[in-house]
Amino acid sequence: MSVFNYIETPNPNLICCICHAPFTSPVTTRTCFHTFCQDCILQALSHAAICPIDRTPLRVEGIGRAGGIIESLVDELLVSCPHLDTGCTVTTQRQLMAHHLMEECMFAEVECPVLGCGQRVTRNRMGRHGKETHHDDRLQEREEEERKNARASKNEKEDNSSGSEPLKSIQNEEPNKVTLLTEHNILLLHRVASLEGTVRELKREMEAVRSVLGPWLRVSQAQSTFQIHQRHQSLSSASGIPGSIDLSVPHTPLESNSALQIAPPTSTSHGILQQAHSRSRSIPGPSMTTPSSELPTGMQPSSASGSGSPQRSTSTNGSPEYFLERESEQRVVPQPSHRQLENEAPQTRHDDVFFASSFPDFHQDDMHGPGDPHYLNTGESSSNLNHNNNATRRTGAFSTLESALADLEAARQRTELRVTNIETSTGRTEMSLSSLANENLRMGEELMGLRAGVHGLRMQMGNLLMERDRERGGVVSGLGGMAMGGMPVPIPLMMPGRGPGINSMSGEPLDQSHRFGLSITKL
Amino acid sequence: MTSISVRRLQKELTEIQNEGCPVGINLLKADDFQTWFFTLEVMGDSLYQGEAYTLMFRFEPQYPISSPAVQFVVSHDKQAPIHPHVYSNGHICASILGSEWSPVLSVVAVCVTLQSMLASCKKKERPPDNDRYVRTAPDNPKKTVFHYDDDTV
Repeated sequence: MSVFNYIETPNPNLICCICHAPFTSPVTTRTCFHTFCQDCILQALSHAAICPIDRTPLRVEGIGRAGGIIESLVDELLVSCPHLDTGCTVTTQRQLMAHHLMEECMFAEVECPVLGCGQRVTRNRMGRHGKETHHDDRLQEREEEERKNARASKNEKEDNSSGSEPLKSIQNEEPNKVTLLTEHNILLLHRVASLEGTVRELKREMEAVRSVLGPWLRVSQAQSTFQIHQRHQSLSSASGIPGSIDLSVPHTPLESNSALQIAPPTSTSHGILQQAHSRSRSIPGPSMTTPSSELPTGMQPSSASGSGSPQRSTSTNGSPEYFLERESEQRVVPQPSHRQLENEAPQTRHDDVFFASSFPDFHQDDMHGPGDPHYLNTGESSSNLNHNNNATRRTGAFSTLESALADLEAARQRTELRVTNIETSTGRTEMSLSSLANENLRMGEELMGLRAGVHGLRMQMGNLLMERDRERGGVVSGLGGMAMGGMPVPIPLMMPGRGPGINSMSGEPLDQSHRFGLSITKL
Repeated sequence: MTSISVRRLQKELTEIQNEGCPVGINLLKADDFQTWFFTLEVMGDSLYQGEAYTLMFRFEPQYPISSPAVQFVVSHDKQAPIHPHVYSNGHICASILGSEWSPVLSVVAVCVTLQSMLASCKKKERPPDNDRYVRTAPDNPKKTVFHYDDDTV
């Protein structure tokens, strides 16, 4: 149920008594002829199966359409456009307001008709949007035209019984749209082609980076490099030449295979990429295969690197690649068995964290990270140097490990000490607690003893006072008693509340008070 | 999408503001569409002459399909009227607030009904089970299952 702003106060007979608004889809009960909005009465019936006005039993089946007259009366009520606050001053009949909003209202939002834009803009700003975003002065008119065409075609569809006629009518009506679409299509094709070219370039660069990182890549990445490597193998085999692929010209996908060309080795822009290619073959080569097939594939990189060496000497940058290349060379060529193990080592450790690994073989690789400035292009001297450095680095790694172990041991001992300290302190606190408890008990016992003693003393005093009074024959004054005894009368008065032995004296306080009173009168 | 209660209460509020309330009933506070307060006085010769009480209405999102929770406000300076159908905690035993509620009724209609209920009272007394009910009554009177047996008052 949507909310309308009615211009005039509607006739009260047209107001639904549940929502207090003019009827929307009015329905009338068949038995008692009361009219409500369809939504309102259905909700009320879900709560109680009675007519809200007269409480007669009512069910959903007992409701029918209110009839044309009531419907026309409410549909023709004048309402104002909901966009009044943004400026639309249009008022129409309620039944025409939907059309106004969809087709006419200048302040209602519509979608930009340009394919791919779809931005929601108010109709009065559509012209400006067209000029600014799409450089189309006639966007607004085109939008209206398209809308009319869409509506016309929809109407035709509804009117026609067959299915083919509307299609023909659309085609006949909108030649503009077809040409527009073809133009757009061509533009998109161009864009797609250029995008594909950039994607390819990016992939190449990624591969170069991955190859530089070499054995530090994880298994999944190694697998992906393997895939890329395979693809390059296939591509290069297709072209027959191991080399890079020309990237400068964007091609459509159909033409990519035929466009493979060799770049001259000395061209600096492609030099690194080329090295990356050869490198990509060398390192992933060992890493991807099982040990059994290691040797044959291992031999390949040597040839590749051998062929690539003259190129490397000419190129100025990419020094880490140089070293790594040589590293693989030494690994693979001189001592295949031993170096294979080393090659395997990085491979098996792909699953672990690389740089923080504690394996000595891995440390060896760790030391020669990319961008390490120590390793420049040299001949055999570099390999010897590398060997020495490897040994020293290994010992260094060992020593650091030992020191770390010692630290851990010390920390462990310290924690043990602390634990024992805590235990002793807890034992001490427990002991002190128990001693306190004992003391408490003792104090309690003493207190009880004292109390008993005081009881006894009081009883004795009372007895003495009684006897003395009796001897004196009741003449003694309370005051005198007070002066003599030092213990005033209140004590015997207090005594009836204490102890079993006092019962015999329960009568005494009365006598005492009597005497007290007597004494006063006497005085 | 505003709930039907908000739309309907908006309409009722504008009606009250435009046309006013019946005599003896006054809108005290209606800041939101959850809780409204009215003052109620019984006009003419009645047992409650000169006394003013405060009514509290609590609305659910399903209003007017569901009935509002209505009770007299009881505080340090306000008392519930002494009536056989009004408990000392302000809860009211009235059929229109329970089984006989209809979406056609409105807030003003409820106020008028309660006003007439007080006006037609013959004897100021509390309900017979007042003390027991007040001890165990819930906060919301709609949670109580009242039995409507007395048609005379």
